[in-house]
Amino acid sequence: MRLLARLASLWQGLFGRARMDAELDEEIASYFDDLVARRQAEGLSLDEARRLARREMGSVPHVKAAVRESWLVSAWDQTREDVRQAWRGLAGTPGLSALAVVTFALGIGSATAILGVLHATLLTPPPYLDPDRLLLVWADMSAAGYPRAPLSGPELQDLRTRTTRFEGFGAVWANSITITNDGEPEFVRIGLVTPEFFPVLGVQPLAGRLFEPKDYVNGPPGTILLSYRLWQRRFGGELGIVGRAITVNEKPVIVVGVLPEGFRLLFPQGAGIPDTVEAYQLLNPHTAEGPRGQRYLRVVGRTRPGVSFVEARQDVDRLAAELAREFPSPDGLSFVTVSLAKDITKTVREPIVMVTAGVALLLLIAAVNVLGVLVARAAARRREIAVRVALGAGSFRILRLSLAEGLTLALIGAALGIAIGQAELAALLALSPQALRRLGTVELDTRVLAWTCGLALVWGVLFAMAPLGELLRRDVGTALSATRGETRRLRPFFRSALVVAQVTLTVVLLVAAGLLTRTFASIQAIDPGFKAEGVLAFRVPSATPAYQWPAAIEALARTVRTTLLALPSVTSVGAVSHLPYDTIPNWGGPWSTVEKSSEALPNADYRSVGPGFFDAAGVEVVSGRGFTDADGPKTERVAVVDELLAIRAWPGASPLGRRLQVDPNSIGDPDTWVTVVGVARHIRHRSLVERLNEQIYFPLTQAFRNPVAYLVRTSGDPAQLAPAVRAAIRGVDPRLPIYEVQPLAVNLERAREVQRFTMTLVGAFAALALLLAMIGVYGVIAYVVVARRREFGVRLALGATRAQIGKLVLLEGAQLTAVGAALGLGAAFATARVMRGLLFGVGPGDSLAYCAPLPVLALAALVACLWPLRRATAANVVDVLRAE
Amino acid sequence: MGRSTELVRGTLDLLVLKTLELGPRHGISVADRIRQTTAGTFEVSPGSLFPALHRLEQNGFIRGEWTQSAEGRRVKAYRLTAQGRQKLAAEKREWARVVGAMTQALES
Repeated sequence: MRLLARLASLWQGLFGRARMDAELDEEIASYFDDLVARRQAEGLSLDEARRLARREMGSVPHVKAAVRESWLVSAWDQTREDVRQAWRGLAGTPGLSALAVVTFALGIGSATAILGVLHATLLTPPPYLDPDRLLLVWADMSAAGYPRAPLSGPELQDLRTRTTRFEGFGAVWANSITITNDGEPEFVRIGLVTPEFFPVLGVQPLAGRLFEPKDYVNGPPGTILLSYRLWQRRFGGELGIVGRAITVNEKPVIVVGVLPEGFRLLFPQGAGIPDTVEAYQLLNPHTAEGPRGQRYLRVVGRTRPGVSFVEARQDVDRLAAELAREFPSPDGLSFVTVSLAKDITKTVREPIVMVTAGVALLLLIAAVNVLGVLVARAAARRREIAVRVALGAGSFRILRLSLAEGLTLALIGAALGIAIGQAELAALLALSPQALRRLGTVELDTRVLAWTCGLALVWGVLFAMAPLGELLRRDVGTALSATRGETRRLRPFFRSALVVAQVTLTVVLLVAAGLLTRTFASIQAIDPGFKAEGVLAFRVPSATPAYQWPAAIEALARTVRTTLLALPSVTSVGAVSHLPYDTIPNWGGPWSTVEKSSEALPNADYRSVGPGFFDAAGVEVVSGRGFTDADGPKTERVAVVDELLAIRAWPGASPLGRRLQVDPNSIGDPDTWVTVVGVARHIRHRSLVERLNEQIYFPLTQAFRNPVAYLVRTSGDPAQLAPAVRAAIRGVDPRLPIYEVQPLAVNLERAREVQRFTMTLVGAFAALALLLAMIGVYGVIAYVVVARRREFGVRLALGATRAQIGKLVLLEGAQLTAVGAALGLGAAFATARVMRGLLFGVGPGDSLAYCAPLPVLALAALVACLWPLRRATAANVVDVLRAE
Repeated sequence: MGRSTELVRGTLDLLVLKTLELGPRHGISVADRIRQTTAGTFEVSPGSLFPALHRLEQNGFIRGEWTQSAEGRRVKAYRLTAQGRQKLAAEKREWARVVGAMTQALES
């Protein structure tokens, strides 16, 4: 009760300023009355007495100011005194304190680093106005292998005119241009957009204006919007560029405006919109009239204010049902509506949540260690505290001291932790997870640091509370009269429980790390069907105004290939429309073996490739042939199919010489017959892990794509080949921009980076957790050894061997670890179910992942016991017994 | 009134503690008592008395409670706490040490 009263007075001290002021007024008034009464007693009149009293009193405001200052000064003095005492207390046990601080710093540092990631990715909304109201609409074409297919122009038009819950819809399609405005030719990725696109996103131009329907009046889009980056880099940030013409694809195009610095086009991964879009042009004005099967528009809609996601989705679904009736097709039609903001983080959400959970466990383990240390210190300090209590220190004083210690420890830990977090974040970014970095700048900004400090404060208070039970025990007499040895219990139950908890959490992390490692190994073991090692890839336009279709383009392609083949160490060269794990929109279409099939047609991924592609990519041609220079625009239309398509189209028969109807012009319906001349191995070129569509290859001369990528296979290091390749292309034509020159292995790495990231982080946390748990085990065993020293001494004196004593110590360690391990395996089994979505090629009950941590744990526990063991067995019997 | 001396802060704290040693007192009676015991050498003005009382209270050495004075008025009386008693003893020792040292130094 007394403690409560004290707390109340502390509360009043902090917040009851008004009441204190009122009381001070009353106290001063009472003093004044005393003075007046005294003068009156001396025989003065009331007025005279008051006059004198006022003079004696002096300036009342001055008195009050002086008192208020004394309140502040003493509060500050006390705080300083508390911190000083806390510091002295901590410094009194430097080893334990350092251990606690470092342990806590490791935990909170890791938490800080991950908070930085969390903040930049999941917690920061995409750079659009009111992003919650932005929805993406896709066509569900799962039957054809595309659960999320883009929409066609007429469908966009239908969404615009026949839905009621939306303010508007915009659409974008990714393309590229070459800017040759005074200087080097530069390749730039652009977004082709509808005029409504930017208003829907809620973007205002930094300078000039956005697109307007009137920009269509002069025929093909002669206008361009620049991103801030391109404007700065290419045009020096000059406002004069707005309204002037620049040279795009060797034609004049008017710059209508510049977009603001904070804006960038951020779409979900796999949506076919690269992150590097740097300029925008208008889509063809006749978009709405195109064929319904020509799907290429990435559609984003903004709901009206107050419309819920479900209402908006119902609106879209209703339209899809209507369209399915009006335009019956074998596939049927349904739309998929998703929140843009949620979809952008879709691929990284699970890994980040996993890693965050991991770091939370780590922080818990670290904090548990600190608690253990503090409780141990409290036990050791009971005599000191008992002395303080005997000398009149109240519970409140002890509480204050404990609080000061806990907070000092937590804040020193947090300061050190922020430094550790900074270093961890740097290491983490070196892992270069593109999937994370694209979402935002991962850094420790003030908000992250505020979070860290808040977290540290909470733990500081908990640290202060933990030893109170030990400190505030009222049996002062017992504590004072007891000898040091007797105050120690043989088995520190609370600390043992803490260590068991630590081991449990560590096992959970170890099992999770094991499962993720197995997942990564499975992914690493996947044969993508091509050989990325030894290949340098780059992109270059396949046609420019200087090279017109078709003869000049063919000649250019031939020259590029011959020039590259002439380079030393180059063994093969091939062009291809798409690289594996590309960020540009996928290309695909239907295929059929019969004319005008009435059934739903299966879809395949289309690729246009040049001669030498299969050799350069390391894709095995199983039967037939690849393309050669003989496959020209005028010769028979041919194709190479992958083995999946061959089996599906002509089961049990050779596909060579068979005919296939396809849609290389992407008009939405098969219109072209091609003859199969070869069968290639299926390659995993869009996702390493998902089920993929069949593949059809066309010769570039018969299915034109621009730009193209070249694969250059070398017997040496592909990265070192880059300068020679650049020089070679410059030699062919200096006006050709060559870009994205990098080893093909980089693309393959990108396909595995999320799994690598998750595995590395959870693995690192598991290792740290193991280290911390070892420290915990060491702490308890060392304590037990000291507590049982007398017993060990007696045993030795009675003839026990040192090996027997050692066994006793190891038994203590083994018990703690075994209990923790058993609990941990159970907890891990439950956790593994939750992380099923992150696993690939390994079940959540994988026995190796559960067994592997056990020997590691046993070894770690043994190491943790070694030093106490040595101390126990090396004890000199006489010394031990005499010391008591 | 006579000659009076302005007190240094630490000395005033010690005198206030000493004054309260024998029982609770309120503001003016503390000032009176100090004047009496020092034979009028130290005159404590409200401007230094109040901050001293509040400083000591904040540090837990004394504790103020509202009570009835002999004349029946509501006054805030201060009494010494256990901590205050320790502090008084410590300060007395310190004072004796300083005075002893000073005396020795001045007389040598």
